[in-house]
Amino acid sequence: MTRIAILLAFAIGLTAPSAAAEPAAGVATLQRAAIMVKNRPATVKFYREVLGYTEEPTSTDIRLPTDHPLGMPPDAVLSMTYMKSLDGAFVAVMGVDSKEMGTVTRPTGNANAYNDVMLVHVVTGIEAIHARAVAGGYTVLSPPILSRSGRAKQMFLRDPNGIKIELNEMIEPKK
Amino acid sequence: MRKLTLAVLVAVAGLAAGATAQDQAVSSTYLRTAIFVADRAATVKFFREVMGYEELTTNDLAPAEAGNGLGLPAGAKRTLTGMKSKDGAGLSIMGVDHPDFKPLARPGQAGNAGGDVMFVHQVKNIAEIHRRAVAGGYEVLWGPKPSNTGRSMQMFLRDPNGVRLELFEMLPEKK
Repeated sequence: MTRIAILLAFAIGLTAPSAAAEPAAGVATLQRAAIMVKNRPATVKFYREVLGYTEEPTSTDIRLPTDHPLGMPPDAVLSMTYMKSLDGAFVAVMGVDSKEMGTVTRPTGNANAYNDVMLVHVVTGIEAIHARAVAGGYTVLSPPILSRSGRAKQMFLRDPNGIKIELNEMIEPKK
Repeated sequence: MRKLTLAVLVAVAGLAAGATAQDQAVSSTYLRTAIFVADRAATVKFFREVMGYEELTTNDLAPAEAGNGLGLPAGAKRTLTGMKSKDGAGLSIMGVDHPDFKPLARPGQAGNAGGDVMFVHQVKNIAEIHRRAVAGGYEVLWGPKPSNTGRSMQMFLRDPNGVRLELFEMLPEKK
């Protein structure tokens, strides 16, 4: 009995401190992806007319303090349009008007790179999206083709800023 | 005149119907963001231990085929971990192992560039997230400090791949 009590106390002693050491809640909700762009209207047009995003209000003439951690050059004047996908996810298109702002240099063509980011979508009407992208003169990396798993039609393209986008339209399983 | 009015009405109705059908034909649901990384385990650790993401399954994928849509070098070894933010947003961490796969160059420190992407999160307990980031040796760019509007505490940091994250925690409204 004593042994059991000691074992119990030991067990409690072992578990209690670790529970107390449990980190305080610190959780993050992904609210939006923000894209820094030179041509905001062209980017907004792409997400609206090709991907079917809804355009939300635009804020213009935003000037940040020179020490602001967004890392904008001192001459930068910003504008921002929120775009909303069908499921309510946001892409914030941040226009940066600046002579000093550089551009991320991505590999050309379909090539990819470490540390780059891709926005993955599930879509309906992938053929229509493809037609819109081609008609709009956007960079289609590969037309809709069957994915490796055979469960989706898959297409890759770039937005006007070179950001890679993967689209998947699920195929109804055969009965 | 009545005929003309009728014809116009029919034409307008036809156009409206066509527009509706076209709108319904295309939709995009922003499913997840994918990051291509050299060190998958380190990236997973950051999003789990600092940002409070849930780690889902990890799978070794078949080596990349020549001409793959992701733009990876042929034969690249790929390992994929799915992660989920508190609100269910998906993040795919794709570890890529191939000598020809090169990193994307980003401006150093707080610098920014056109065409880059930033992940914006609304968080709970930003002080705890900051503590975890500092303890983990991650690159905290700024904060937590009151935002320009004074309505939130704001912080900027980079993930292990240099991807910029903005975090904000809303402050209680003053009565």
